Amino acid sequence: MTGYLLRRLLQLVPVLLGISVVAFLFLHALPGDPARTMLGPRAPAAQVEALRHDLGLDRPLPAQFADFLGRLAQGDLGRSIRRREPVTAELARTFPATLELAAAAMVVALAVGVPLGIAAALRRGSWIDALCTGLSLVGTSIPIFWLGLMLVLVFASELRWLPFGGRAEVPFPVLTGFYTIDSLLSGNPVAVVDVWAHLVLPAVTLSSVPLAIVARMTRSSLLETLGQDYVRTALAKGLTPRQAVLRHAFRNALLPVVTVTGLEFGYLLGGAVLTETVFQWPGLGRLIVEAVFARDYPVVQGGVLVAAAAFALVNLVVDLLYGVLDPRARDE
Amino acid sequence: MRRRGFLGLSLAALVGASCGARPDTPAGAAPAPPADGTLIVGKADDPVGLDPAALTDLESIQVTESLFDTLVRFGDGTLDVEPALAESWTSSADGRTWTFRLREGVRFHDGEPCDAGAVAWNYARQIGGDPGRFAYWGIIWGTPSKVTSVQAVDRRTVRVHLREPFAPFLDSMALSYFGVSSPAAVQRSGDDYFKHPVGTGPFRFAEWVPQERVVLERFDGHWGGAPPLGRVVFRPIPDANSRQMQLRAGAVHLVTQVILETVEDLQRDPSVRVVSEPGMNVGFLAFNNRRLEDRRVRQALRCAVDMPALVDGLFRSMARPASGPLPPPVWGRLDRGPEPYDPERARRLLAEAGHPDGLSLDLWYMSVSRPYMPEPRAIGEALQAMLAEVGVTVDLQTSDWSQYLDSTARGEYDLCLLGWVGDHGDPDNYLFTLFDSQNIDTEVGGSNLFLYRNAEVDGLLRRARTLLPRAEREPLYLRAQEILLEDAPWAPMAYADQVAAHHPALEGFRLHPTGMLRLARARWRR
Repeated sequence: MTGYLLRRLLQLVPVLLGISVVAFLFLHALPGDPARTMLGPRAPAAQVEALRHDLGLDRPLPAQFADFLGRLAQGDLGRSIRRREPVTAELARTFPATLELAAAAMVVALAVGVPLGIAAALRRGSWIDALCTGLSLVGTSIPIFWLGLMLVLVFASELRWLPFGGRAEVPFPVLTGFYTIDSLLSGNPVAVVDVWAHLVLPAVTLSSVPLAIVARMTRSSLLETLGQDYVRTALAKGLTPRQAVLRHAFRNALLPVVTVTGLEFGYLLGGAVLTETVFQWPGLGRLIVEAVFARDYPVVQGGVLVAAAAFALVNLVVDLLYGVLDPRARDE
Repeated sequence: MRRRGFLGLSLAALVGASCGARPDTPAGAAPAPPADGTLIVGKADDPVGLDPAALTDLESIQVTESLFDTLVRFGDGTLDVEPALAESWTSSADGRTWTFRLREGVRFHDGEPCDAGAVAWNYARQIGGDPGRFAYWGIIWGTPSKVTSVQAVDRRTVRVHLREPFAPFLDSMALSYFGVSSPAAVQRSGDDYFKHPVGTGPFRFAEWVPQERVVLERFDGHWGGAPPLGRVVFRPIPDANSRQMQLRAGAVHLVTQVILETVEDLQRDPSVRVVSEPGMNVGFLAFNNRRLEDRRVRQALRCAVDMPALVDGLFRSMARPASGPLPPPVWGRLDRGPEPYDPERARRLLAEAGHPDGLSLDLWYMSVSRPYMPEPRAIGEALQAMLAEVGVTVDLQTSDWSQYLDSTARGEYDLCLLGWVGDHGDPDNYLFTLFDSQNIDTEVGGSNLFLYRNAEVDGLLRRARTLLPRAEREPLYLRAQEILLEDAPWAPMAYADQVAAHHPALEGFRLHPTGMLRLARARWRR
């Protein structure tokens, strides 16, 4: 097991290296110049040149990339061109925000999607099945931006139940960057409630796509399993339908659900730009997009690397879960 | 069952919301002003940093404006320079030495005295500093810097030495980017000073949680008297719809960059007050003077477009048609009104220039909107339709903003949309920057993106920036603008107003022409 884990983690290194190369090349192939973007159209040419030199942008690409790799090996991702802050500091600020939001969204998606999918599969053709199919369709096709604004309009602007956006109103010391944890550590119940209140609307908004996919996948996977011989056998030997489903069918039906959950969670970890924008959530997605527009190369590079690493790690966890759920996968 | 009830409730709320019902407040009533007197400002973006010397963007400088003072400043609502940290000033006869007499007893927020030594230290830091970090210094004073040294003559006297006389010197010194920092604080914080700013302004820095909020608190020791507001919070709200929704609900009290589509709606809402002020910008259709070498072609393009109609249709009454490079708050304007729309003359001029069957051109439109160019694509399409009338076939093109700025500055276009926002009220900031041939650079990119070259204009503009008395400079600028009218290097489009909206109980707030938010006199009506 440990050997397997180590091997998988080692395999990550060339993957991430490859992603860095691709990100680096794509970024530098984009027209547009960080020095000009930063200084604006009115800066004299000599000054743009000086800044390009300072940032090392006048050096050949391979030299710039070698620099990047050299620093990366020491855990240094460079400094943001725009803010002049270490990229690691920017990532340390935004990634926990994204992780917290993505986790909350996945919890909502699983808590609603799985039961809904099961109920739909068990009562095929009923109203709940129609609801599941309808919600899946709406969830995958509704524009996130619009959904977010509508939720804000109803629950923040009109009903005033929940805040408009941001991560917290009540101050508390930030230790881990995960506000749900930090507010708990502060021992201030008002801060805890405040943090959770801020999490609700963005999490619900962000959950719309994974919820739809999880519900649909649960439903179809369970339906397929229910048609299998061993379920018929279980029923024939006298198990109640409830026991047959919970003990036998459900566990097998779960495999594809785990796969899509992992994929969806991985996507969310790259940041959810639209949700983050509507809810002023200071996450990784917004950081990367703003950095792309500003041609803030070090930040984009660092952001892409973290997002890719997170995606790969989630996939690793999914593979390990396979082993838990399906003994055959363990042997392989 | 519970879930069904919840769903029903949300649907009811959604319907209620779309019908305009407001359950908490009676229709149209303003939310109560905050009990603790805090002003929350909703802005489009978080600051990049809070060290004014290291900034180049409006979003950041709008925050530091309240933290720092400059030697001189612009008056409320005007572009006239008035005393600030300096009580008085004189210039030597040759215009190369300026002497400032500082106000007595001014202290930084950290208690250190703001004396001549501190002021001189601030400018020395920028003159000798890294040109990437102190970008605005280079933008205003050039590379190498026109300001060669700043000297503390005695405790209250600062002397600034210039390489050559520079007429916009005093206006430039009033720019918020040249706010004075506490030298002790800069040295204490080192590279992190941009997160721990210390100035002499009416508010002191309290907290910055990046992407969440910047908090300022009243500075009781300000030389101009303590401001009425106790606390100001700047909150980045990137989505404009969300910004306005929060304003209406009272979650924020002042928003900038109001979306033009919603201005009329907001103006009708008694729970919000919309304020607008003429801005210092000019939006324009640029001609590439190298590719469109024949003046008659440029003149034809200019009179083929009906700018007043376009501004009327697409700027939602928040702009006026432009007549030249200088917007209304700036002195030295030659105002002959917008170019008369005359497609007949345009066709004739094109025929004379050898294009009786018209010609084909690329028109680049911006991928981002700005107050001086609210809907670039729609504007591009309107221009395309108007130009088609006179036989000019226009191919619309765009690219992302960074690339757009880069390629237009190098003159890689036939026609393009862009605008200019002046730093201060000196005509040099517009005319010299945009039209002097010194500012052409097709390699790195220059501010004369028209690639316009006229020796007489160059001569007038260069002479005007070395003379000090306004009376001597004005005729030179008027003459230069006359030549520009004739040469038609561009087609000026619009001067856009700046628009903000705030809580109706907020008083004493006015947008400054430079785009700054003056909060020192803002107060809540009780």
